[in-house]
Amino acid sequence: MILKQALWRMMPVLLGCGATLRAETVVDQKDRKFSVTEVTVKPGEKVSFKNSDDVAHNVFSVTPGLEFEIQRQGPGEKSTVPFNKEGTVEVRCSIHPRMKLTVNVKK
Amino acid sequence: MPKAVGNGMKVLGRRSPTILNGAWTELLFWDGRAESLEEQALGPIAAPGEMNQDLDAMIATVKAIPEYGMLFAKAYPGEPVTAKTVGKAIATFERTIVSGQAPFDEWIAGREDAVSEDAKAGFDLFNGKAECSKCHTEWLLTDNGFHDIGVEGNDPGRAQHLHLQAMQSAFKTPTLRNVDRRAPYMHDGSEATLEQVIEFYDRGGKARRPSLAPEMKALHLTAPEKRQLVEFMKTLTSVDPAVTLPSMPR
Repeated sequence: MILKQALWRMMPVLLGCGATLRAETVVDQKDRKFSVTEVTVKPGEKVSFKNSDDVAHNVFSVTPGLEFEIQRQGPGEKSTVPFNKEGTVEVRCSIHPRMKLTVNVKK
Repeated sequence: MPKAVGNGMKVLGRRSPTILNGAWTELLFWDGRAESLEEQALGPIAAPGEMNQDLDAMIATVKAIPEYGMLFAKAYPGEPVTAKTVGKAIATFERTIVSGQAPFDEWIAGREDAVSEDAKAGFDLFNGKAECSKCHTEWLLTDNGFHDIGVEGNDPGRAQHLHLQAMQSAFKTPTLRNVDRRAPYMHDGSEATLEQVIEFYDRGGKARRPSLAPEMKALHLTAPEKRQLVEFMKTLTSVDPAVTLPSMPR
């Protein structure tokens, strides 16, 4: 009970931290699909790509000025990509081009 | 004929990919360079190594034949005869080339005697020990993806259009529907028979290079298992009505 009360009293502080420590955005890859078709993050935030398939993926973007490539990612692996610049990033898997995701980076 | 023959009877670098079930395909050609059937349809006409035709001259030829004018006006009312409408017309024809119900489909639907016991064992291997279904998946038996499976040669494949290392020597996974009608196999026709294809995969491909797909590895299949896989693949062929070429106005 004392611990619960202490946590409750600290809640404003914890919530305040939330402004700078946002929950990690995780996009899963399963059955050769991204778990979502669109995510929105703020500049400087990161998106983690998890491979829950039994085959390799290769997540990348060739959106001008916002390019990145995770490179080949094996089953069970997870990779984090920072999105520092504002824009609309079209993300694909080069191995499975039907996998399509839009990452909106905006303040 | 392992590889396509183009303008001046020149042998091209790749085998002609099938258009079977192209209606459900995106990123066409072995290297995925065409976004749609409409775009694909015009590529070989204009390619210098293939049909080597000037598209404007081709349109002028089509326009000079009155019957074509009537056919296009009926199919695309209000649209002039252009490369765009020609591409649409060819793509629409290509979308009619589809495979039908194969013995495998009848077996899946519940008719136990539609395929042999060897073919059933082959299907288990396809999904299990041989790991074929990692890429040859869903009803068309393709992931519509691009992989370097270790075919020898220096063709850059998909990397010619998407400059990523994993795309080096990567080619589009073909459908396995009606596959026993399409020998020889691979993007360059380098494997003459389905039996040779199974041998190729059993050794994990032939070329060893950084871009080789990690799924490619020695399978250690026994001789009966190889035979069962081939038996399974033969059940994917449907008996389809013959495609008769219409007599075209000249």
